[in-house]
Amino acid sequence: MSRALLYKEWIKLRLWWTLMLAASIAFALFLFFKLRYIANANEAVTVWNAWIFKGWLFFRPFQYAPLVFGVTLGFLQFLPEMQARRIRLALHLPLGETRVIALHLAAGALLLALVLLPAALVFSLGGALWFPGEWQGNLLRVVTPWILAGGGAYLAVAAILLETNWRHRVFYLLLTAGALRLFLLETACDTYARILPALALWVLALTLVPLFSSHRFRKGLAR
Amino acid sequence: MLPVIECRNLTHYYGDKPALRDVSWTLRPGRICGLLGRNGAGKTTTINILNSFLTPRSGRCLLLGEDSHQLTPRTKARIGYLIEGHIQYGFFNIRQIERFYSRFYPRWTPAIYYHLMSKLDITPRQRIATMSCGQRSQVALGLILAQNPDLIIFDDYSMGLDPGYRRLFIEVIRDYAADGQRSILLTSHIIQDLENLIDDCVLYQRGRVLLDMEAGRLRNGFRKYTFATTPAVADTHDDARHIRVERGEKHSALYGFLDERAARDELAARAIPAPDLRPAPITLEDTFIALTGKY
Repeated sequence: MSRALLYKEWIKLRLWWTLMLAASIAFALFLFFKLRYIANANEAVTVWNAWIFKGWLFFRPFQYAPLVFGVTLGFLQFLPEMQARRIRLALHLPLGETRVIALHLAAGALLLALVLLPAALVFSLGGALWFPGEWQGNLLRVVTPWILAGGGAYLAVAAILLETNWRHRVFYLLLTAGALRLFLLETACDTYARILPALALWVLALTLVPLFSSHRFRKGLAR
Repeated sequence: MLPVIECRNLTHYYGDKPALRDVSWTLRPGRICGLLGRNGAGKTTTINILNSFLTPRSGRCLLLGEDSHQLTPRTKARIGYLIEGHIQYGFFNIRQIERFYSRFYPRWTPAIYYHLMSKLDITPRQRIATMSCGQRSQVALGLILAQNPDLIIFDDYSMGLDPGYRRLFIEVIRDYAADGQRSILLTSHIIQDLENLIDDCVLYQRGRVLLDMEAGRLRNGFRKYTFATTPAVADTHDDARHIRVERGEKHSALYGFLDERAARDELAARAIPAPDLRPAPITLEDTFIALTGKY
């Protein structure tokens, strides 16, 4: 039954997801060539100086990409479900309602992770090719909050769309927009190093919000 | 036998506006029940409560013996539900959607579904979103029947259907329920379609059960009489006794569970002379309007 639900999500999203993946691969290639150019065209000490001391972030174009992908995927997945309150079809399936929504979220999270994978590969493998280990570690610590922001944005969009009470929607929007802003506020090295686990936990906790929204929808408490 | 659906003292409000007031009725196994009423009478509210998409202010519904808000997956698999407007997943084609639903229902019978699909002028790879409203209704119906459910709830099945598809829908339902093993609850605004389909009738008015009886008894017992209009005739209705007098230009009508003698007595009690009183043919739709009124 779980596979059937994942199948449904795949059929629904496959066209848009393929387009997103193509965009992601193109973007990752751009990052790859940019990183290679920077590594080859500059002395290591110059790059280090520019990055660490002058805050020049040569991979900055990636900062908002996970957020954009997360928001887009959330809309593409849950907007059709909420049009004509089509989610009732899924909630009427002979499965627990929490399981149904959790499977939808798992499918979306998996597809989002795959979309972000090309860029993540460029940062980890490309970084390992041209930069010292310490640089690569720094680089990954800088982009991880951005990737978490993508996951958080996806969950926030899911929660907002599944919610049918406008006051709750506005509350979720303000709460998540404010929180996600924190993920993208700083770009200096190691700014987030100590709170990365807390950010990850926050995103994980955010999973409960769409489940709560769907529960309210299911019980008709939202109206 | 345990009722298939049991609504007990349902009460619900939208804000301060009452939608249902102490509504109770049951659906017995193997019966087809029409849940009827004017717009805003409370039918959809009841259906939403039955499907647990709405929590009533008070009261409860039992479906196949379980609380509608605590249905186990096993019981859910025994209930087919047609959402108003024949809502389905538009991104699937007819093979994909059959493959999807078949995984959830242990008694799934694809032949029923594909038999219905073979009657439609569609290609196997055509997406449901590109089908006409009538074709979509058949897809939705085929998917429900293939589940082999013990109980089917059709919420306004006739919405958007032309007469041909409405007739087809009714014929398929009638054939499916012919073995007397399936229980069906349906709502519709096209009353004449239900004339020879439903076994029982629950009629709502302004959030209350106005009438709950076997359709045969309603068909045979509820009468219409016509008589010449005189100045003494005025539009009146008595909800408690289900009697209505309707004033017309030349001829007026009296409706109610009345034989001819009782009809004459009723008019005499209202001081309405009706020497030419005579029974007139009446349809289920006339009955519905006589009971609920035009306004």
